[in-house]
Amino acid sequence: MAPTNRSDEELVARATAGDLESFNQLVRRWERPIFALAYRTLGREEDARDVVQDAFLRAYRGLPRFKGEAKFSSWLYRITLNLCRDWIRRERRAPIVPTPAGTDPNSFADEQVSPTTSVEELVGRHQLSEAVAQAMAELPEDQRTAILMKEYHGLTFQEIADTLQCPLSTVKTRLYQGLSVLRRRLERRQTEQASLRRATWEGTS
Amino acid sequence: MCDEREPLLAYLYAESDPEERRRVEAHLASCEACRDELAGLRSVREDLLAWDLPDHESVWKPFTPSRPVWSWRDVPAWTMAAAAVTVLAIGATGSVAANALIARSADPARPVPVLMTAGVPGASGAAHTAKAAVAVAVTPADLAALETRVLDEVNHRAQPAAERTSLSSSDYDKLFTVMTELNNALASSRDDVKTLRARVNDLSVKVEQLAQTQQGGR
Repeated sequence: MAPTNRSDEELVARATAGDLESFNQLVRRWERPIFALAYRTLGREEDARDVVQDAFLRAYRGLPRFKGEAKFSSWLYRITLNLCRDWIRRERRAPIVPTPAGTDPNSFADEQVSPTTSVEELVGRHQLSEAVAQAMAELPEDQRTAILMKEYHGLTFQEIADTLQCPLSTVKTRLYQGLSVLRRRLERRQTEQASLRRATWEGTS
Repeated sequence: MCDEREPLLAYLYAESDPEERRRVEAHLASCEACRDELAGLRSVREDLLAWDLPDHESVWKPFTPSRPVWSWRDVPAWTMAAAAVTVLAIGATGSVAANALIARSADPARPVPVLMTAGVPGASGAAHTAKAAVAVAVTPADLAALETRVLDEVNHRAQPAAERTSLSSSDYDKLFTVMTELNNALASSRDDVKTLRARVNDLSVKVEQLAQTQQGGR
């Protein structure tokens, strides 16, 4: 069998027996999702990279204790989330929303708009990305984590429950509440920007 | 609104069983509020797709293949403790964790994990060294010096295995000297903490790789 076809479970078994290349393969397979989870949880690239490295080192050292009761990925996600939680506690603050230059939502006011420009056209994907990041950062940690696992990692309700070690019904409640809050915030943002657009137009005409 | 939250959520994510799905669909056909709710949830899911990730290049320096499993015992204990303290100092994670790591480093059965920065409560010993973990930043030159020192130590130090597994009093002296130097350096600069953290991480990985090489070379 080609090495790349080996399942996580096989690679874990081989790595536990001392095959370092198998562990490297697990890293190659999971580094990007783990970075995505850390970045979206912390909002900072460099800290996310630190977490990625720490997570895999911890996983490597923890292999002898990993009994395979959970999926390897669930275990890795849990390690990552714990590291993120440590980071947030250490920094004593909420996740930070990156706001690169020129993406300040208020910069809408500076854009040339006409009354025929639709909100959808105006709200570029990048700005929506920022808005989503902002809205997610403001969610309670539990809800944010549930949504991250579901929307960006495609876990089933049961897999999320296993990863977070909480009841299935709790996962569903957190997801529903989180989505409802996001919906309100993102809808409100669109309304605000529509009125900002109108105000800008009226101010410049 | 109807009490359909859980069924709607399962329907939204296609996790309903067939019977439940048929029931939800029948309900949606006759309930405008639930149709609106579902449309709203779908629109949020669409918005969530817009959340971009920055480019990410691998931060993992692959373990060298075809080597036997290495052990922390092959790294001189004081270098590991020094690296651990450096990481802790720069992360400013506090004295309890530093104590724990230093205490554990003296125990041959529990090699020091360099990058583990989480605090371990209840550890004791070497309390006076904790001061070194309080400050926030060092200069690149300090780290370069430490790096050279650690690498030299790992590369060239030829000692019987027994001596490597625990901190001798001369190891402690060396460790304290390094930490004192660091502590002085820490007070002098608060810039570029992130760059320095990255370098310390680098250093830790190098120490690990050297440990592997050392093991493999025997």
